[in-house]
Order: sequence, then structure tokens, then C-alpha cells
Amino acid sequence: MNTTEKLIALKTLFMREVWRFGRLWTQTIIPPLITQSLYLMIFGTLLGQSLPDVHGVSYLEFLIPGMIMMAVINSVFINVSISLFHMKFVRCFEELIVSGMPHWTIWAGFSLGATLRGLIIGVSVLGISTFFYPITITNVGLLLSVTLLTCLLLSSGGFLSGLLSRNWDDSVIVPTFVLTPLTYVGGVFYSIDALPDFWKTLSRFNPIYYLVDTFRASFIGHSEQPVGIAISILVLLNAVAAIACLFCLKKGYGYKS
Amino acid sequence: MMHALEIKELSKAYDSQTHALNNVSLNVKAGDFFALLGANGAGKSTLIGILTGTVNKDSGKVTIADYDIDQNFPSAKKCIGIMPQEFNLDSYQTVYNILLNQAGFFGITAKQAKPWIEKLLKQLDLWEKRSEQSHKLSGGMKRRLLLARALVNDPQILIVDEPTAGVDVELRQEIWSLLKQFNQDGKTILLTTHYLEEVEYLCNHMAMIHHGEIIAEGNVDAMMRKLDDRIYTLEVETEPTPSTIEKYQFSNQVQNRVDIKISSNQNITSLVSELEKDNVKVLDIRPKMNRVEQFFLQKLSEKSK
Repeated sequence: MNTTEKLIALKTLFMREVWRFGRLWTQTIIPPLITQSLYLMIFGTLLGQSLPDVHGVSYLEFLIPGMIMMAVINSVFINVSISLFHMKFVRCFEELIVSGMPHWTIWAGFSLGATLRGLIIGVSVLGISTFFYPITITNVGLLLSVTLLTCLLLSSGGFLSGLLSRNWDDSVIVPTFVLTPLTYVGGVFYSIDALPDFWKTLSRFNPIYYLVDTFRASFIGHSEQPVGIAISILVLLNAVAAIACLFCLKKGYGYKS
Repeated sequence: MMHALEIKELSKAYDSQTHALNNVSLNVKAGDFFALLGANGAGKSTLIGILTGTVNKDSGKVTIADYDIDQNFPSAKKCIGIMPQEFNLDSYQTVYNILLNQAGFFGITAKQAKPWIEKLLKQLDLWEKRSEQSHKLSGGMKRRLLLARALVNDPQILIVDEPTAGVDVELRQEIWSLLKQFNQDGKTILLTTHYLEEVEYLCNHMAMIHHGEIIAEGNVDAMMRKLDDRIYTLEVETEPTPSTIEKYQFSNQVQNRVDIKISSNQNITSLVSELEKDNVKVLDIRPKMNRVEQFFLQKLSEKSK
């Protein structure tokens, strides 16, 4: 395949992914918006009124970036994981392999499709949150780069989960037993400064914490960890995850006998 | 390109106990209609999996349209189309989009692909169904769609994996006719099947695979001529007497129907004349099994000795 053909293959897979989540918009777009609205109403508005300010901002203002990030993380991961596993399940994933499209285009096609869904969800939750609080963005560049790094990291994670799952039960193991707990203890609802030392140290090994903290910094202008270090960690994690995806594809893990 | 496919000493083991392919060597000439014949679990699907990149080989060399798959698999893949046995269609996509997407995966632009897709859909009688989601199609239409998808990149080599497994007689005839047509149009076809009459009807060459090894290979007609014995079922007017049964070594007698084995140097016409001289009137003669089936069983028997 020459470069043009590779780009056509990549675009085709990307468009197929967009078509898939667009067709299922009542399952892929609407639910996170409803869930996050409920979180904002219950934890932000009702309970949040009785909570003290965090890092100099109201609890609701502190919570909103975490809510956006939580929705983006879940949506992106699930998008790739389910779509890829479904293709494996009905065995049309083999058609990608048979076509000879390069491994990186398969990974990128799924990842870019999920990234677009993540961006749509992120912007939508941000839009909804303005009904609860007139939140402002203090660093657009940081917001965009963290969002992009988040989407790519989680789509690689979803890619590995979908590729290596042998059945539907396997495909929900990571979202249920890894991603959700890490997100809940990743500083979405609280500052880790409020934790005892042991839990604070442990939280620093949670990659979701760096996503949430740095993303929040682009709104409230304050981060618990140095932004430069957080971004470096995220870039490194992205590189490791992408290499892992390409390695698994090359070796045929999860789809070759 | 003299050979569309060249397979040399190909081996694959799923574990230390299961040798799916054991030093398989095979050549398929360009333009040939070649059958890979074997029972379930013989190694046919493993071989196809290696050709299409869904199974890793352990050792051996495979060349597709002069491209070594270890050196340039993407170019080799551009030369092949695969019609799988299972309906592995993207369920909610329309017929048209399934083909358009598959063309895209091969790096073909929509503009280039559209006229060819229209031609294929019309040829395979699916044009009217182009806006239908694939899961709503009948079994026969899904089979034709699989064939259309395999042809979307206009491949030189078409690999067809048990295309008539579990289909009715009418659809079987339809698929046979389409495959013949594509072969006449110049495509090399590699057909795997365990329907032996399919081989006799369609193919020029065949290889028989058993427990991962090629046990026979060659021109279908030439191989059939090597059959030692043929078994015919005769329907005779009256129930044969014990002396007739003994004389002609009839077997499997059920009322006035018997089986008779004749060797390769015997002639069925002279046998019928001989029977009639003995007052055994033959009403009907038919081969007990098709010749490929007999040949297959003969080879298995030789192999087990």
C-alpha cells in the first residue's frame, strides 16, 4: 500500500467508527449526558452547597472538570473496546487483516473515532455544566492537549481490552474492575490533598489522577501536581499504550491462531 | 506469473499434540480452479488462515502472486479475495456500504470503487438490495454478498472456503455457476470443500489433505483414472438368485437393488450384456458414490496401510 492508500484505509475505518456511534447515539451520546447531569445536580448543587471550597473554588466548580473527564474516559474506552470486540465477535475484524491495511492504521482508525466521540461528549457535558455553574476556561491550550492525550490513552486502553478479550465477559473486566475504581479514586470528587499520606502516595500511581488534575487545572488554574510532570507522564503512558497496541497487532494476539 | 500460489514445506502446530499442517507443499497455477479437499479438521482452514494472515505459520514458505508473505504480505493480500464459510458481515451496515468500506480498507477510493461495486451487485443479483442492512438478507443473499465482498478489490486469486456448506441445492447450483464464470473471466480460484461432487464438477486440479498432510495432488481427471475399483448400484427387474449373487459378487442386496464392484480394466456395458445373458435385466445403473469420493476413500485406505 502506498501512503494515499493507507490514508484511505484509515479514513474508511474512522468513518465506520463515527457511523457506528452516530447510529447508536441514544446509547453512545445521551446516557453519559444524563448521568453527568445527575451527578452535578446531586453532588454538585444539592450536597456541594454544604461542602467547603476546594483550592479556592466552590465544590461545584471543582467538580465540573472531573465530571467532564469521567464521561470522556468512560466513553472513549468503551467505544473502542466494544466496537473492536464486536468486530472480532462477528469476525468482520478479519476483513481488516485480510485487506492488508497497516497495523497503525487499524489502531489509529479506532482511536480517532473514539477520540471524536470523547470530544463530543466532553463538549456536551461542558455545555450542560454551564446550566449549573458559569465555569470559565483559564488555559485553552492545556485543556485541548490534556483532552487529546486522555482520548488517545483511553482509546489505546480500550483497544487492548477489545483485542485481548476472548468473550463478552472478558470485555467488561477492565471497565468494571479497573477503570471505574481508578476513576472514582482519581480525584474526580475530591482533592487528594484531603487524603491521609498513605492514600495520597498511592493515588500518585493512578494515571487517571494526572488526567483529572491537569484537566482541572485548565479550568481553575490550580493543579496538585506540576503540570509539566503530569503532561510528561501522560505522553509516556500514551507512547507505551500505543506501542503495546501495535505490538499485539503485529504478533496477532487476540485475533490470530 | 506461472503460479498464483506456491506453498513450500508449510507447517503449523497449535500445540505439541495438534499438527494442523505438516510440511505441506502445493502449487496452484495462475487461472486454475483448484480444490483443496479434506474432512473437517484436516487442515484446510488453517492453510487458508495462513494465506490470509489470520493464522501464524510455524515454518515454510508461501508465495502469493510472486509475493513472499514473509517479505511483502500487504502486496500479497492485495492479490487475494476471501469468501469465508461463516457470515462475517458487519450486521447493521447496508449491502452497499459493506462493499464500499471493504474497498476503502484496501485503499481504493469511493470514486474508483463505485462503478465496480455496481457491476458486482448487478452481476450477483443484489443491486435491488443495496440499501438493505446485511442482517435482513436471506442466507442465499448473504452468501452472494460474501462473494461480492471477496471480489471488491478485483483480486487475481479468489479463495473460497466451503461456499456451499449447508446451502440448498438451488443456491449450490447458483454459486457453482458464479464461480465457474469468475474462473472463466481469468481468476484463479482456490476452493476448499468436503463436498466431493463439487470438486468433480468445478475443478481442474485438486489436492487431498488429511491430518495436515497432502495425500494426493494432481489433475482431477487424471486422478480419477487411477481409481482401482468403481462401485455401481444396479436396479434389476427381479430379485437376484443366490447363484447370481455369488457369480457376480453382488453386495448390499436390498430386494432388487444390489451393489457391484468393477475393476478399472472392466467395462460396465459389457457387464450389463453379460448379466442380461444370465436373465438378469438391469433397469437402472448409477455410481454408488461419486468418483472423487471413491478416490478419497481409496487414498485414505492406502494411507492407513
